[in-house]
Amino acid sequence: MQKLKEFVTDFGLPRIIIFFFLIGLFVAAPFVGVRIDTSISDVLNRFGQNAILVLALVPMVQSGCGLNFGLPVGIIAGLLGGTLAMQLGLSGWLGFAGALAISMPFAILMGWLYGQLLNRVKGDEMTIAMYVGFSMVTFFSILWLLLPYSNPTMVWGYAGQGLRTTITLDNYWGQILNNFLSVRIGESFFIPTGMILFVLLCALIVYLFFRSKTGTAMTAVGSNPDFARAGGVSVDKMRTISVIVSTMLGAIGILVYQQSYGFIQLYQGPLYMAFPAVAALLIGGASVNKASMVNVLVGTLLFQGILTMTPSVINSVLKTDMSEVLRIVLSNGMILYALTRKTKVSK
Amino acid sequence: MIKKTSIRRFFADNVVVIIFLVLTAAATPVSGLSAGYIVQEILTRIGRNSFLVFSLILPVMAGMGLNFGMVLGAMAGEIGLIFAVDWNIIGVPGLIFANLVGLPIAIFLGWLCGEVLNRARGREMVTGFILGFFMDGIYQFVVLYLMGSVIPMRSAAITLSRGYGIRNTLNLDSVRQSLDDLLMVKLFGINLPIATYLIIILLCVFIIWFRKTKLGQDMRAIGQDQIVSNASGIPVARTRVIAIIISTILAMVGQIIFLQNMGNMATYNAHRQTGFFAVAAILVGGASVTKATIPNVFIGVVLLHLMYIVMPRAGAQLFGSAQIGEYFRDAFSYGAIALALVLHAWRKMRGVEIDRAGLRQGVASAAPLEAIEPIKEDTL
Amino acid sequence: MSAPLPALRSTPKRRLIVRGLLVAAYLTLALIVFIFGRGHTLLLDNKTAADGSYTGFRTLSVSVNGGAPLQLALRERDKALVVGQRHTVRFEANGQVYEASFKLPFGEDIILVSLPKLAAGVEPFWEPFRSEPIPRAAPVEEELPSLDNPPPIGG
Repeated sequence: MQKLKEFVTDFGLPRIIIFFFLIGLFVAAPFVGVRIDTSISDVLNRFGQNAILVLALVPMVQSGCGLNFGLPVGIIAGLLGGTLAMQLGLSGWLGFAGALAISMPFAILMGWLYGQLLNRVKGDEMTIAMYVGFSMVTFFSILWLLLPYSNPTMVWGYAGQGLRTTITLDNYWGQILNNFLSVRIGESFFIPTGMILFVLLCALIVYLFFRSKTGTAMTAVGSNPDFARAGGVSVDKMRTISVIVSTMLGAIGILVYQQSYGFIQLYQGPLYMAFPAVAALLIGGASVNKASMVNVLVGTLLFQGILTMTPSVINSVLKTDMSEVLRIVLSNGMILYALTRKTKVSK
Repeated sequence: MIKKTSIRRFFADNVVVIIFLVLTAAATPVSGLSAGYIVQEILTRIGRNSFLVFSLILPVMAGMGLNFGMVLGAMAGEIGLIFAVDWNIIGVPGLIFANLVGLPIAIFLGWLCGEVLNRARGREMVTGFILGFFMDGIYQFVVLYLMGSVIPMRSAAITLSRGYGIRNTLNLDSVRQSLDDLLMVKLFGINLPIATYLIIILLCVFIIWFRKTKLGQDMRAIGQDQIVSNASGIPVARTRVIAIIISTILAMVGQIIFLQNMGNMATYNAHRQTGFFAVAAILVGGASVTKATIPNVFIGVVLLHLMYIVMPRAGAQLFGSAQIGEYFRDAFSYGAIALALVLHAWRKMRGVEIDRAGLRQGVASAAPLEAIEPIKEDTL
Repeated sequence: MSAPLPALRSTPKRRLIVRGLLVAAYLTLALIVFIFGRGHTLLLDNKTAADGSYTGFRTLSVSVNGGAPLQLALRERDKALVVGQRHTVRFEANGQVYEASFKLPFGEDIILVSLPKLAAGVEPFWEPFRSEPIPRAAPVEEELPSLDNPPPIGG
């Protein structure tokens, strides 16, 4: 009993409720005419789409920079990579690899600048990150209109200039990871094996990174900066590295997301993308200053599971689409819960 | 030498205002809009927006930063307006009715917001921002699902055809510009909504008076140092909650004034940008996270809205696309908020580091410079 | 529903009185604006009765509460928006002036005022007007809002 209680306080009541809610949804699904196999395929697909964006938050949480509401900075780097690879006419595996390769220098540069900024505003990172993200998205909205892209699938037909709001990846690298080694059973069951393997690979790399010397130093900076400084670790340097890694992962994350989704979304599209990622990480059990790979994977699965299941199940039960409300309340409620919890700064 | 540093200091303190001044000064002639049109627009928008911006002052005074939770008040005002329209209460009484309906809701939401922010000390702003999103979900639940099913609504004209939920756009014909038109004076061909201005002036008087009350003094003390205030017997948590409650109520009234001028209401979107606009305005007006004055509000509303008026036209003239102008002004507004927050956090951190290095002594200097400054505000 | 105003440095008793007064003021004000601010639509009607008990006028000119006069031909109907419950209808037909005041029931939105009835001295000359709810065409649902599609920023 005592152990159970400890487990509940440790894991957090909201998470347990969400977990059982999701189980309940899956149990209820067949009774209201929702196919389980389709649901599972959807959940797996959305898990793969979003997991790396969630993973991108981990380095900054670990280094003490808080929840990276400035995720759009990395997303912008990814968008630059994707659009430039298309402009160069790269397609297929070459296209996807090219997009990743091109986005990395941008991600490193932007991440470095963003890290420099965050080092000067310690203690206020989250609000500032949010507005840095918003500024970047709106600033790049101007660039999407002005940059001299010319690939006809990308630019507005009538003006011959300025990128479209959504660009299809059909003849480039749409679904390329999803279809790699994919398993299809019957009409409605599909496992995007390639994408999931890629996600696990990224998670493994980040996991190993945090086992490395730099990684442990980074965690030390996050849990006790003064102690780390006394131990001869440069706090600012570690924080900068964490921001760069986070931005790079953000760029990779959006590229994986887009190849699965099949479209590149520009302009205001990435404006609020950080919030669902943050919510997923927190649902997985992370706090404002501590996050692990398990948090990422479990959180993404739970959050995306609920997002997939609620519309279909709730709609067939209540005959009305309450899922939107549920999504907003759930994801923001989770972030609020994390922000208002008394967190032990050092552990 | 002293003069040089004071000029630099002035520049550093007002860099956001200066950037916006330069920007709008450059864009205004390019836009090709007539001076008469611009002046009329600005005067209308002062009446429309400044009340909302004023709702931010008290939490800043109490050291809680910019109250992004003000959107909760805006939602309360919108619920009040929905009932005023539903019961078909016309004109100024309709607005008063909306305020009266919104008041208990705003007090409750303000209390809630205050309690939540008290649990998130040190990160009030981001928490308030997320709380706004969270409440947006609750608001949507109430207005889209409960109104007409659980909460009785009278008018079929404002409910969705399925029988419950409020339509996406609410027509405010019954109260449209009733406050503005109450005392409209035409001067040199320019319409001045005097009644609205009077209410805003009244609010300014209230704020000046409030600063001098015991409660106002307490808030300022808390804004400077919570620990010292607590030691001297000020109920810190309670006073902070009261600051947020008043801010939420003011935001509610502000949103009703804003919407009566607009004449219709996007039921589910009207409040989404309220916080952003108010915060951008007060920061563009030269306020910071720890210091906000009445002139900041007016300067900010004028500058921000001047940019919102001229930028699309300037973009159309320069790039042949009004869209670019719109992205420009959005980017600059977000950028202005980011810059103001960064500058403030930077100075605060520098202050802390200097303290740590032991270069400064005494309790007073432990606080960042601008935290001490609000004492001078009364002279403004 | 009370307004917990911080009445600092006051005895509990005084505080209670102040709060009571505030609640009373709140309710009074709410009642006043609710009753005197409520709008109604008057449908001014110039039709002959089906059973011929009163006849409409060929043309008439009517004003509500001394407002701008409306012209009505036979069998015509027009509407006037009024605020509050007590109203005066005054109209002129065939060189004769008729005038009557009446008090509306609070809960009704639309009131049908038959001017020929008024002229013929039939009481009451007005009645609440409740239209049959018009069956709406196939429900064209408006697009519901979403945080995924942020609204354009604009003032």
